[in-house]
Amino acid sequence: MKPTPLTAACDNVYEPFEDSFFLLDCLELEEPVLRGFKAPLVAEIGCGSGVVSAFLPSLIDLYIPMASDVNPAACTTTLSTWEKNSNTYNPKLPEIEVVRGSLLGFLRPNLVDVLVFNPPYVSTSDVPKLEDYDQEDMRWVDFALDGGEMGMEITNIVLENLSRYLSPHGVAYILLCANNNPKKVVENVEARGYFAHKISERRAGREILSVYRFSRNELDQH
Amino acid sequence: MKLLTTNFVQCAVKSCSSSSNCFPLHFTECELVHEDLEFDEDFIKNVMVKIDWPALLSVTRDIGNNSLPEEKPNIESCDEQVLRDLHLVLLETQIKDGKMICKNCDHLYHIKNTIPNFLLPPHLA
Repeated sequence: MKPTPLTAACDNVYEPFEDSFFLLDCLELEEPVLRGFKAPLVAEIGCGSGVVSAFLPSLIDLYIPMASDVNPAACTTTLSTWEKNSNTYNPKLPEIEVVRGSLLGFLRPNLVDVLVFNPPYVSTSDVPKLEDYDQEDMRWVDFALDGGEMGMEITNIVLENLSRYLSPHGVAYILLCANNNPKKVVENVEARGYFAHKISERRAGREILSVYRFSRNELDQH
Repeated sequence: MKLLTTNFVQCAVKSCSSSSNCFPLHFTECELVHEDLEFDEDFIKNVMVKIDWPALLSVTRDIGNNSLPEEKPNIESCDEQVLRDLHLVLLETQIKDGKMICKNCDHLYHIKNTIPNFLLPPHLA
């Protein structure tokens, strides 16, 4: 087990919880796949505290680290979390590029080699609207939680954009909960020509969480 | 924001994504800072594979750096010094504060304290 990164104080940011730690464990299982890339662009969507992004340097030697979040506090917290752990990183690893933005809509197509997303997967009546939040708002964490219908409204946007985001050999790691109906999600993604592989599943309180790897090419199962 | 990243980002406005003018963005009023990073020959070579050279030239000229050659260097056969120069430009040069403008729709994006902001107002999102 690799050590869990230290996190900076999470004011107005989703604090690492069971789902975050489960995602770290799943990514660790994927170390052989991740090490197969050469200087990959690795982008985390919705980086929050930065705990996931700050864990990746323990799995990939040298890469181009990037993270995005709509929450301004998440952007600064991710930079602080990265900084807090940077003494454990390869000194040749560039500092993470944190971008304030919605998903990866600011990237040129087909650049991302490894995409990581712990989405807002809670089923809610609707998803928060950006225009209702100002910079100082104390409710930004809503964006980390509220997933709208079946908890899938935001995840679906990412899945629909996989072929836009991912490079030809790109892979995406996405966390789902049982309420998201992972079976149906996998069917939909496979119907678009992707390979889906469940990395692991874990019960966390009342939730059953799973992490899937979606890829354009078939990879070894392990 | 590292100069490397200027080679990856484009205007976030959906209707711009089909336009060839949405990349690269035009950079203006940029305050640059230098961040030391140890050089790694293989890494910069692998990074260069992803680089759109004309776009990099456009951005370096925007920020007043005319040191790069017109043609993309041949990464496999060039001197180590060329790779070190590219490492300096792409990985060690940061835009701390500045503005980015889409050449298609003129939308202005800000970089504040190294963080670029690509969030769009509701009518453009």
